[in-house]
Amino acid sequence: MAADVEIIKKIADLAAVFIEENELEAYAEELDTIIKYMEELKSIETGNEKPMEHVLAINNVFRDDVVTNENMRDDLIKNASLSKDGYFKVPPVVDLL
Amino acid sequence: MSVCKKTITETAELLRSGQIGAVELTKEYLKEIEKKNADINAYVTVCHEEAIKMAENAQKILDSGEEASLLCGIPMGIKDNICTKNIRTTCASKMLKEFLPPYSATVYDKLQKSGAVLLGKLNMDEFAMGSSSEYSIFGPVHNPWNTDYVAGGSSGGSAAAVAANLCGFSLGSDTGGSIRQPASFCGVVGLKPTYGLVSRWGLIAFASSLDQIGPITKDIEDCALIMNVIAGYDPMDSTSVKTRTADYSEGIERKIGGLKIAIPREFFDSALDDNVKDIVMNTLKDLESGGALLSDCSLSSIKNAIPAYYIISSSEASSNLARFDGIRYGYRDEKAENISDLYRRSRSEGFGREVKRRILLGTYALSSGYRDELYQKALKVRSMISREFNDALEKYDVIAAPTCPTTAFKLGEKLNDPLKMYLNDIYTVAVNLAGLPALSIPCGKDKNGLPVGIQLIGKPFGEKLLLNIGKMIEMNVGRIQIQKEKEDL
Repeated sequence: MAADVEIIKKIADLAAVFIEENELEAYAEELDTIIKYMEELKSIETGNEKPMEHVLAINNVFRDDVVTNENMRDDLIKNASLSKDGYFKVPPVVDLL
Repeated sequence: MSVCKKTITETAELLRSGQIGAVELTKEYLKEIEKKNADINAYVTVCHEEAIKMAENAQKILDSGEEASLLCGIPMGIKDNICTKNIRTTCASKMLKEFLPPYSATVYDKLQKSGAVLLGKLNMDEFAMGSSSEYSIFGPVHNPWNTDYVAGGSSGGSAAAVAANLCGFSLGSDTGGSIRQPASFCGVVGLKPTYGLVSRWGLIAFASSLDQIGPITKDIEDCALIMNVIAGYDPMDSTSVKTRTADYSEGIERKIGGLKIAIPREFFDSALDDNVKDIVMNTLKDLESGGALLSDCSLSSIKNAIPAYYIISSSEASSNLARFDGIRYGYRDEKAENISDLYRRSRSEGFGREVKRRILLGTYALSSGYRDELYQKALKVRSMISREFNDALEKYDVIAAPTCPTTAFKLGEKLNDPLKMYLNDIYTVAVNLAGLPALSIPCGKDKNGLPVGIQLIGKPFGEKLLLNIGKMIEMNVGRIQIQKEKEDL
């Protein structure tokens, strides 16, 4: 068993996705089939092969630290469901004792 | 013949000679959309007013006598994961159903500057995750050749809109075949450019090391015209490559005598439908008659491409989609009482099932205990695949293969079997892992009358040669168009 209900609960928690109790079993079954297929990779002899994260040789791209765009606060904030005085509004972040 | 059936080259001529005005042309296309979109479901947003305004501007440029781009006044559609400033961009997800991008993607900026007219945004699989354009909150895209069949995915709306003449051309994005496969299923031309050739700035990321934007067009020359506009370095995309831009139209009809074409036997295995095989082989024989040298070759690592691709793309997706927190943009659950609950519930309700499956798969592959044996292993396999393809391309000019193992499948056929859906991508994903360019060209129809596509894979930045050979195929086969009796869908 590559994925069961307990594993789904754990990775859903890591991914910050809530899975309804009655859906856990179905997700576990689907993921189990998929992961078992993907596990074919384990049997491939990769020797000293280097992992390839990217096609290109990626380098940092630098530019002079000058402002190139105007203040877009109003444009940016209009996509938020809740905002106040030009700020994003969130529920309590720090638990009070 | 309706003006909407014409290619960009033909339409540009009509606009230049004044036989049609840009506004009239845009209205013709809007009428076609009105008539056919209910059956095909290619568009999720139609920008009536903006389109007319853009067409009026295009007409002014055409009237001014200044040198105008061939795209000036040509109506286009854009996949709904490419940001269009102040025009809703949804990724076909509940998560972004109301999202108004504060900026435009570089590709859209460039096309706008060339005078192209945006008709609207095109349907797709949610967050580009899928191979049939059925995983969309707007409902599935229907194949214009037969509406009981899928249009392919994830750029299904982009391919269907071009095939049904609901735009002059469109843009799609290709992470594991999402331009080529729907182009093949809908009988149109689709190009996945070399990684880094076309800017990804403003493309809502799925798997950043694999994603590329590319054109879907009615013919090869149109594809070259779009590449002339969208290719090139962009400082806004840190993976954009500083390469000299080519004129993709120049020399497109060059003779191909002596060109070495590799035919990898693993792409012609038991997964391949016999009918598709015959049509692709006949197309290759025509190229041979034209002077090309065909050679059998082996790309044995292809069998590992699907698991490597799904591990890597899902891992990158799980990281990329972490940005959707319900706070700054996107769907927000209003009932959550604390921040962690807000994240979890907004993401759970905002993302569809396939997207959640991929996030979970990616998180699993990256999590402690599995990271080395899955994610790292997949990256090593990626090295092997990439090297094998590049070695073959040292010996041969291009690799030719079918785009897909079958023609379009029926709606619903693979919807409840994710693994079966993934296996459909067997011939396309390796190209993305290696970052190579690949072109899908229509080359015939199967016994059910559905289009077949042939795929040409080239060296990095070898798009010109792909278009050149593509043109030869097009000249041999002719443009594949939907029959007259199917026009009034």
